[in-house]
Amino acid sequence: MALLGIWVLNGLVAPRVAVDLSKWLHPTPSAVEFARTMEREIGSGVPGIERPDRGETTARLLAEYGVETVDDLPVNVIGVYLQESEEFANRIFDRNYGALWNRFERQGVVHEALSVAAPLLAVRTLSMGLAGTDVEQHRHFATAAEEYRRDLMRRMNGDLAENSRTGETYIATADTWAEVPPFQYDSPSLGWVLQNRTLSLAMLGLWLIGAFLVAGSLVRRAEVA
Amino acid sequence: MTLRTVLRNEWRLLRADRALGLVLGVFALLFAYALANGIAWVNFQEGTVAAAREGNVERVQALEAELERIEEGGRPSSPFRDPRSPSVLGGAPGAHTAVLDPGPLTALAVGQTDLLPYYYDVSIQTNESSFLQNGEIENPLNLLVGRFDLAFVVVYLLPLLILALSFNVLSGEREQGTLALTLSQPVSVRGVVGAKLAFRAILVMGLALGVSLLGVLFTGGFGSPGRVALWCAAVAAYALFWFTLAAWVNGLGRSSAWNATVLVGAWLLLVVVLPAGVNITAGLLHPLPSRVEMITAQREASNDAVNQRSELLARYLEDHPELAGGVAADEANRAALAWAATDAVNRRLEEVTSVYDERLAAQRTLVRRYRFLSPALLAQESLLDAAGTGDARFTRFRSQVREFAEHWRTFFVPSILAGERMTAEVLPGLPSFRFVDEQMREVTVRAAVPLTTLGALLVLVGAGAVLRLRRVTGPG
Repeated sequence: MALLGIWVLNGLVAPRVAVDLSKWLHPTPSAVEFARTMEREIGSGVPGIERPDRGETTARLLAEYGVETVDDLPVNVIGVYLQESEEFANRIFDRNYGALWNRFERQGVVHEALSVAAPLLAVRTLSMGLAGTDVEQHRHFATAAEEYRRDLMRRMNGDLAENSRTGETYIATADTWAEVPPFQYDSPSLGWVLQNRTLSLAMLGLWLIGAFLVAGSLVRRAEVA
Repeated sequence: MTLRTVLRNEWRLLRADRALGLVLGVFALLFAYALANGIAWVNFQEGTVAAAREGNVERVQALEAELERIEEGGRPSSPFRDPRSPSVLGGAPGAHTAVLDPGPLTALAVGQTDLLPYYYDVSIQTNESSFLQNGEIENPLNLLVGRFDLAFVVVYLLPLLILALSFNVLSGEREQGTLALTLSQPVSVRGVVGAKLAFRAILVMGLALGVSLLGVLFTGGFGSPGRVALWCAAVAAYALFWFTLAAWVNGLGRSSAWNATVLVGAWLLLVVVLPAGVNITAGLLHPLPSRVEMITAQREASNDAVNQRSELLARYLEDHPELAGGVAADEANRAALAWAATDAVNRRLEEVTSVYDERLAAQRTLVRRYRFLSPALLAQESLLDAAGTGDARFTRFRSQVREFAEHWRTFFVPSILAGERMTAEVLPGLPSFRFVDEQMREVTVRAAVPLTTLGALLVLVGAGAVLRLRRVTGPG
């Protein structure tokens, strides 16, 4: 009965308690709240990340190239402005999604730390890590995909800026697309994965040593008795 | 010796037994914790729902302000988001968020509310893929595990408490040598076992139902007394099932250790192994198509649609004469052409999602068929249904949102096709979503099947227990 109790606590109760505790310590915003924050920040920027202004971009380009009118510029203002908006939005994305990912990871640490009471939690995070299905590796992939998207946008906006003039209707050729490299993803190394899981490894080690020591001392006492 | 004497003595024994007191205390804590968790979740959900409703009001106010400014000669904030265009006002900028208020007993059973969306942004762009979006922002690790709510404690842990209290009601007496003494009094074995189990049942069910009612009291769930009654019936039937199972095993006349092993084995099989097995089988036999398939289909349909927009519009006007209002395909505006393309993409998506829906329905049918294998599955279904956090209420919500989206489209599409401009005057008349909850009768009819089955199981095991106990005469 005692062993069963331990098994139930370890296997059924602890994982769910870890969920609640991790959410309580590191709360995540509701989807509605998150979407509204993003909308607000994209709309008007935040201190330190100012929303680009098309007029300012034009004035800066005019000064840079030393010309009087937009028509004399060798670049398409729209292309430059689009890229600036893109970079602005990227910083807002990084700020919000980065914070969210960090929270997920910190929630994961709570799960790992609780393995001091329930070793199942350490075994689970470790096996998810080794199987390549943990939150960190998902983030690694998502970041690579987002990097690829940003590079694609940079190329497209750059192509528009360099190969056309402001106000022109520009249609890119197939060559522009041919130059875009295919998405290539290198999954992280085992070392990287295990480095994220040092806490789980340490906890499992402690459990192993602890169980040996306790069992050893109990057996010795049983012999004496 | 009367029943009262047995009950009084049991109470004394329980108070003397430190271990049992500890187990009961731990369970009281687990119950309170589960309830607190459920209440926290309901508060979070209510906050979200309120924010979504507020968002609806704010969006309309912003559009109103902008439309009035434009009417006074101002310029739209962006040429791509001119609210005078019906495809903008009916599109994402003017979207209406349809919300589902938490079920009356959500605090008792979180159910699928952390997995299924309880709000959708409805606009003319709403299509079948909108219904496949994720719900709340949640750490995938947390979703994997599930919540610690009252339903979880009742279905998974309560049986263990019951078994811990009653695995040795008869065998223990025999092993201590007290059975002979007890039976020398004018009582039957059945009477003694019955009284001892009744005492434990009062304790356990008192705890479970007491905490449930407390939760209902905190969250105002007494507004739907029918659901509360269903919840209590499900908890009582499930708990009694485990008590009668313990009585039956005790009636087999083996040792306490043997009883404990068999009962824990039954718990493992009925509560852990079979439900997991049924779910895994459903997933293996009817796998859901991947999201990538959906995205690819959507993209291909969009490409095709853009290339043949005028043809599509002509066909659309033919199919929907009621929306056309005398518009001809060859003199159509750009928004009308775009709408025809959007509609074609939506049709294609419906084909793709119908496969998904069929597989999901097949999975559900399989789970529904095999739920009879495990009282835990039956109890879980009844509890979630009573709480309004099971499949049924969400399916109802989705189908009402679908209808609402259709309503929204019929409001805007004629103006899009006719190339009309919108003014601030249309805003008060915009369609608005209101969820119509199901009648108590429907819930009762649906919950009757698992509850009756659970009741039948209870009677069956109870009859077996009575028959076995009748044969037990005394020690030896």
